[in-house]
Amino acid sequence: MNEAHPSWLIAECIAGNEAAIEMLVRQYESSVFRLALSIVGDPAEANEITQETFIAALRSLPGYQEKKSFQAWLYTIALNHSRSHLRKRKILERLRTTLTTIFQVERQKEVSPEEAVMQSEKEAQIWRSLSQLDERHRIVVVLRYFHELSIAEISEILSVNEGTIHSRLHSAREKLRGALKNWHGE
Amino acid sequence: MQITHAEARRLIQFNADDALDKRQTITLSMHLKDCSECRAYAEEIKEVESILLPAMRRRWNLQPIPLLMDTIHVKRNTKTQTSIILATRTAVMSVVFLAFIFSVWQFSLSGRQNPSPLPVSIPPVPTPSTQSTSTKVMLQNCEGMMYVVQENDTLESIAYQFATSKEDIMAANNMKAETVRMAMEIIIPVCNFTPTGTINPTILATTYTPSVSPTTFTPDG
Repeated sequence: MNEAHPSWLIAECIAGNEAAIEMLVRQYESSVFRLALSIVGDPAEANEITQETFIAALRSLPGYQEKKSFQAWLYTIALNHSRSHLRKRKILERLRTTLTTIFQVERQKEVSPEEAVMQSEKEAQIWRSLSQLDERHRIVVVLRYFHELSIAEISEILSVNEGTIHSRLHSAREKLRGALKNWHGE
Repeated sequence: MQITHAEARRLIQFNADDALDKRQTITLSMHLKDCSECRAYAEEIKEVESILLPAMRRRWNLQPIPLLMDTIHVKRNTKTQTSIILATRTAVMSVVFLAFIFSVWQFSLSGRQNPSPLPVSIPPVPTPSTQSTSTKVMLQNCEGMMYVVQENDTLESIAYQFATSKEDIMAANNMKAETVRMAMEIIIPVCNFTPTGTINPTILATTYTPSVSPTTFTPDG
């Protein structure tokens, strides 16, 4: 990720320079969107999270200290907003389940959109296995492989030491490998 | 250097993290050359990675809808303005509350320190008529008013000042003598009079003027 953000750009954003703000937003818009999308899985929601992330980041910009890289700082905000959306979604899901049970409404089987784009059974197997990982393990896989971040960068974003990141990645890979091996065995 | 299968698998995982140094890389390569089991393990890890990345890209490599900068500016400023309004409101309420507490405190202090009588309205005394007959009056609805004796006050001058009698003041204060002292606190009975006849023309003034010669009020005429 090309991180061209001289301190002057951030200073200009803090001062309220609208051109500088737009420059900053355009530079990171796509990557923030893809991070949100990789967590919530829904493009519309990811767009919403992207907007929320930048609003929150611009408001908190005066408090940004250069101990953390700007990208890591921004990704942390995006991650927090994404998780917040997931929590709300889980609450709604639980409510829907409760109402379904109460009113004995039959739910139609929903076809997963991910399955529609899967190119092969192997891919479907890996994808199912990835979805079944707990959030802590899944997020490190996503950040490492999809966002191509280094272990140090992931450690910075999640505020977890590098040894823990290694451990989670190893464990996740092991589970995905096991899923693929089971598929081979079928 | 010989390593175990467990150590080799560990190095394979760290290799996937790009976390091996040169020595570890060489050690792993040498082990994999001779160990088919660990080679198979390394191949399985590579296969997982080769499937994972395209699957993610296919699913997530979308472009966002470009953010509207106007919306971001408005929402950013709205939230800032809302915060400022809330903070200002809180500050104003705090000042008002503190002012209220302070005034209550001051009010409670002034009751003890102020030598002037409490601001109580003295009920009006009926205008004297010109008839010389005496009159009886009945005392009704008496209330006590606290008065702090001033320099040169006498019981008589105080009674005159408040249109009452020395006897009423002495009765209200359980006084056995007419002696009053400066800074002494005494109760002045303030009563609503119900006239039962005409009033003696020599009766009371409604305002206290110490220079006027005191006139004794005799209820029994």
